[in-house]
Amino acid sequence: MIDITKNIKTVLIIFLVLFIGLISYVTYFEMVVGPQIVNNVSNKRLWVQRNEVLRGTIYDRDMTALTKSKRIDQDTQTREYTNGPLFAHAIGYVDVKYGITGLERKYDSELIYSSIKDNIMNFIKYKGKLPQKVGNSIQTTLDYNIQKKAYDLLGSNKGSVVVLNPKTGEILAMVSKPSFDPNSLDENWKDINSNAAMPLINRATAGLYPPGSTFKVVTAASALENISGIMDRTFEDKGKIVFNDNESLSNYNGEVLGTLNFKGAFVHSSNVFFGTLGMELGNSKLKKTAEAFNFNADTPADGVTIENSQFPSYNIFEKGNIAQSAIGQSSVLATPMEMALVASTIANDGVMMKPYIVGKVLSSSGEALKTIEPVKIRQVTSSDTAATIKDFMRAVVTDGTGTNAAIPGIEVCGKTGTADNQEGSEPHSWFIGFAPYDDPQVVVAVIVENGGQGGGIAAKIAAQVMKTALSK
Amino acid sequence: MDFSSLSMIFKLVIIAIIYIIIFTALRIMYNDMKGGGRARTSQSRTYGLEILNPGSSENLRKGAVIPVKGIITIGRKADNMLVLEDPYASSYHAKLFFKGDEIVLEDLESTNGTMLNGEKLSGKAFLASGDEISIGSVSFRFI
Amino acid sequence: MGSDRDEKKLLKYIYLLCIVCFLNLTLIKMPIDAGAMVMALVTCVMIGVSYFVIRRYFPEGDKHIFIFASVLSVIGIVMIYRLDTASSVKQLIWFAISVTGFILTVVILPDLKRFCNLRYLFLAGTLIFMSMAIFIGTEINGSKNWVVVAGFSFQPSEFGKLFFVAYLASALKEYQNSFKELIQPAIVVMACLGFMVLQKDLGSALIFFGISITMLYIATSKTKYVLACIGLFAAGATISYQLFDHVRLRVMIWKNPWPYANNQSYQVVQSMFSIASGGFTGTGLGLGHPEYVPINTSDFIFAAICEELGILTGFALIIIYFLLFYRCMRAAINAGDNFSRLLAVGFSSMIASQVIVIVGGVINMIPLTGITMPLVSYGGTSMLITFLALGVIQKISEEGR
Repeated sequence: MIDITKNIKTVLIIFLVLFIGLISYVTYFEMVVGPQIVNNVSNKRLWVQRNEVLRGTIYDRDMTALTKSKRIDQDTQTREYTNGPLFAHAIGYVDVKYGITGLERKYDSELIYSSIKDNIMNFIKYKGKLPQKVGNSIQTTLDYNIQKKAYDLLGSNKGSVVVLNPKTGEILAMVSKPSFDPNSLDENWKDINSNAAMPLINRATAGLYPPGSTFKVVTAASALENISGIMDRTFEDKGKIVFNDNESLSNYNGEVLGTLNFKGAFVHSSNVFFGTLGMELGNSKLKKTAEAFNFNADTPADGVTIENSQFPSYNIFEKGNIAQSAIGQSSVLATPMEMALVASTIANDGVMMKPYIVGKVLSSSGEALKTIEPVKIRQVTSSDTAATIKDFMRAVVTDGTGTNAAIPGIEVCGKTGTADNQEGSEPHSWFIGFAPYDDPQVVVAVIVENGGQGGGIAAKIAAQVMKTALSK
Repeated sequence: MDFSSLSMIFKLVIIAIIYIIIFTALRIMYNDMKGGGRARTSQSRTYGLEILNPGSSENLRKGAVIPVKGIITIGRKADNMLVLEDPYASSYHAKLFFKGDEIVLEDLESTNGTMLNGEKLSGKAFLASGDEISIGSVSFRFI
Repeated sequence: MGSDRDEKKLLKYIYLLCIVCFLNLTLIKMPIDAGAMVMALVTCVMIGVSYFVIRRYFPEGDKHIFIFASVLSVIGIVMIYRLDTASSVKQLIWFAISVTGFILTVVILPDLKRFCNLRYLFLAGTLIFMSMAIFIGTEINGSKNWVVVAGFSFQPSEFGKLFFVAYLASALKEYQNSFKELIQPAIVVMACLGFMVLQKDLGSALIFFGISITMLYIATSKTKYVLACIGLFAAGATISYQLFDHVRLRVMIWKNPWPYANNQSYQVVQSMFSIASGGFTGTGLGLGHPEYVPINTSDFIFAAICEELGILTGFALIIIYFLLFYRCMRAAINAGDNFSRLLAVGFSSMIASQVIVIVGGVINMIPLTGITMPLVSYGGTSMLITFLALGVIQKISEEGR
């Protein structure tokens, strides 16, 4: 009989342990798993919460409304995007069926938050009969005029335009084409998703392209910092480097540029010169510079998520690849945002600023609740190096491959890029630049997919965009 | 007026009450364990069986008192605690045991039965002081 | 006496809980819902009367079993009222019926020792009830363990559980260290588990397993048998995983429910959202959204309670279940003979295993199975069976000491 009693006590303890385990797991669930899953799209509660408050408005930097929310009944409200596809990628959309993207997602909690102070004030003002609760608004850094200009200029091409303020990191425009109309998701969802050009992707931050010659800015910075005497060197450009039976590197159209110095090679975009520079620097030094410009790393940003641009690692004997990487080909991939940041670093004395798209969070009555301040990411190159490259970039527009980017009365600086991509298709047309030379106010990065030479369509678009930006 | 926000206060009250119930129950159980233990070890009452008539059993003497401290089995077989050599007693005739603070007398379905205060006992009964028990020709008084 | 006062206090606290909860429910609707207060009154009266009957006529038995059972039932009735008032009224009626059953069990059931030799009767009962649904059953909600008779549906496996425990108790009570004695019970256990798997009622299978190894260990005190059983169970589980789609499905949605959130794993995903939205103190009755959880009045009632009354209430429920389990085991310790002991242990582990399986399933700690939370979930047969089991334990607690 006694044995059984002891067994019973053992069983009691085992169950006690099991129950304690149960309680522990529930605690773990609530504290760890809970917060991770609560924002899942399938959780209707969030939508109910989103619906309780009339969603706040998103404005551009001049307080032009880009969205309009209207309440239909207690359980539904509609959101109108006043400019349709123009800001589709920057702002994103919020839809019960299709989810929540872009700024709508990043600042979701602000847009559905109705400050307590406002509620109390309204309660007093309307004597207990609470009117519609309205969420906070956000004033973005985007400029309607610049965005519209860039959008129109891209026309029916695929590509992207990014416009930044180099001193602060503010994103003045972020265009991606093809775009889609966030007002008619229901009708067009199937088409949008089956469109081979993938309009849902924000090419500005998620499109990875070979940067082509625009990458020479990075290579130049690397050379200035690692190779002494580079400024005085001269070089014979014979139009082509041959590595072996299979690999060679040549200038665009095989053009022979003759005797060049460093500046000349940059201005006329000599692949041969820079390919040789790349081999001289070696993969690790060039990679180090690229990584200082944030290749292969997460770029801190507010309001946007930027895909990581890539700079590859090569062995010493992979001479062909090393040379190609120095001219922004081979496996080098960059987003338009990254190249804009490269240009803005040069424009800002070698300091890269953190890109951000929201300037202020405002209460529904217009009071500023939060102001986002510019943040420095790091000093990428010395200001001397930046000054040298800035000078080169001015010359590109006055004398070199980027003359189409010139604007009368404004000193524009830039670098063209003609990026080979797939066999048999036109190269991508790239242009990165900033203006004015003395005190750069605006940075632009343009890519037109399969647009041909960088000095062509991309440069022209960049010029018009910068003109609009500076005409304020 | 919309009272539903009051639920936020109510929920705290409800949780509090549930936990108070748990703690009160725990306290009762704890007190019981403490109290029960003490009661068992220091019994204020001691019980005994006084032999009134030893009958034909040679091992019993009239007037002797057998203390009842736990279970007492009564019968003819030698492995009983109280062995009766009476021909009317069954092998396992009856049993006395504690239930709480009291003593219970149980008849183990004996052939000739057990008499409690003159009446045949069927099954079990609580014993009170002064009760007379008869098995065959043997009789006891419970004190 | 000190503890007497405490007992009265305990009863008063239960009344208070009942009244406060229903008061809350009264106020959250516009206009005020007076029906809730009526429910409160009726519930309090029922608990009071039953408690009085039990304490007056059976003062020897365990005092706490009924208290804990009532607290659980009250929380259940309150939550069900919040979710669906009609079901709550039905639940209250079932509560009345079950408590009556409880009292009748304690009163009428003769000395349990009489039953200890009815082994083959119990065996027959077990096999009949467990297999009944296979032959004349209908499939509801994915498991084929319901029987519909004249519009009234019940789960024969619930009754089967009672017979099962009784059978094991009578088969194991004489255990004298020989392996041969275990063969017959082992076959019965495996048959029952098999029936449950065939009926796609995996939750009951787990509960039966829990009951079996607990009783096995209690009767034989040989750890190696327990380990052997766990091994057999693992083998059985693997085999059924290979053989049956529905087992594979459950495991798939347990390991990673998110890709199927709108299809197969909808139930457990909604349950997890519900619990995650509650936090420690919950949203408050009426302010959360437990209505998004399917089957929220029975299988997922724990999720609904955690959403509106918080994890703290969830803990409290688990603690009360454990205290109930403890009191039942204590009755087992003090019981007079092995049959009663095994019976008490069997019923206690039945309730405890059920709690672990359903709470574990609802938070996706273990794969979800369709069983109810004893006394709290909406379900007449479940509550009745639980109270009957508790009645037997109460009776055992009276005989003991």
